[in-house]
Amino acid sequence: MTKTPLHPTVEELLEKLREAREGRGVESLRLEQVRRYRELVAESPTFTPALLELGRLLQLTDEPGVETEKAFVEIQRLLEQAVEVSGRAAAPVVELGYFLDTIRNSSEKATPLYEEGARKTLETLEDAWAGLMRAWVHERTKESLKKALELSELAEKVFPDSGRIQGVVHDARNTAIHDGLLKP
Amino acid sequence: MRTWKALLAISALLSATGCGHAEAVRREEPEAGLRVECARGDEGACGAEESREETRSKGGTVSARIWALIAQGQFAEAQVLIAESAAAGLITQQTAARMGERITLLTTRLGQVPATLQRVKDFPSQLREHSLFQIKQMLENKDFTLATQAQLKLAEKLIEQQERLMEKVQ
Repeated sequence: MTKTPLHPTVEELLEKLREAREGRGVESLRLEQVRRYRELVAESPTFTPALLELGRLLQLTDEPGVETEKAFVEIQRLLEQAVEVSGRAAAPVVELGYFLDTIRNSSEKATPLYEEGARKTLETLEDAWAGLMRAWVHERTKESLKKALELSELAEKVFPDSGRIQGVVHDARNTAIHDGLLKP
Repeated sequence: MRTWKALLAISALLSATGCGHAEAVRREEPEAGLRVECARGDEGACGAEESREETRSKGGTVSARIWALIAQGQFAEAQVLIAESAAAGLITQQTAARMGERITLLTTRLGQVPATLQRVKDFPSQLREHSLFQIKQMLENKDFTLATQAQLKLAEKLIEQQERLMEKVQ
């Protein structure tokens, strides 16, 4: 019976990602960085951060002897892979959009991806703001309630139809009124 | 529909508070930074807004003037004003840094983008010595004597892409 190779553990993956990132921003180390990322991606083809970061890095890297179109095909494949394995998370979707817009000069293909990324980011923002305001209401200090009230104004304007936001805004105002921070 | 309403609302709010990225309307007042920090939940950012009332009223004007100078391409004047205003505490160091970064981007020439990006199909090499600011000016003025509209748009995207990617790989 063939022995199935074990998947790397989370700690091993993160350690390899940390190693691949070494020398970030240093141009002279870029080729070495690319090599480490490629090894990581070959070993773990579903690891989104590595796919995304290598896709970005290659756009800035001039690899000797690598034909341009071949390099662009590799970058596109990496970014498309990152989109798929991440379940179409906003960051890889937007990154693929920029690649198609700039390198392939196709705004038509990029626009739906920008829209998808924006929509997903807004959903996350709605969740984050609702959670943040809820935490501030629960903290129930003068300062935390003031922060909740201030964010309420912004959140209501951005998400006027969100039940989640409206609910926590209502709670923030009621608590502030009860604690004498806001006039009834 | 809901997404667009929310996007437009964010855009309007950020422009109103000074965080718009459009060249002509960009305003980076200390107030705006704090509002975003406050919205983000940064420790002490909401309270800090009140205590900086005076700085805000003075800094807002200076900040607007600097952004206007940058938008007009008067980079040397803007740089002097940034240094003086930061030293006098009229703008935050963070705002000063953002202004400096914007100047760096606008003065980047197409020929300075990484070699890989210069190998894209239809790369407008005749614009190699032109800065992003000059390219934007040509687009705005519909001046297509040196390059076609499509070439100018591609040049603009390439310079902005390299800046965005450099920031991400840091």
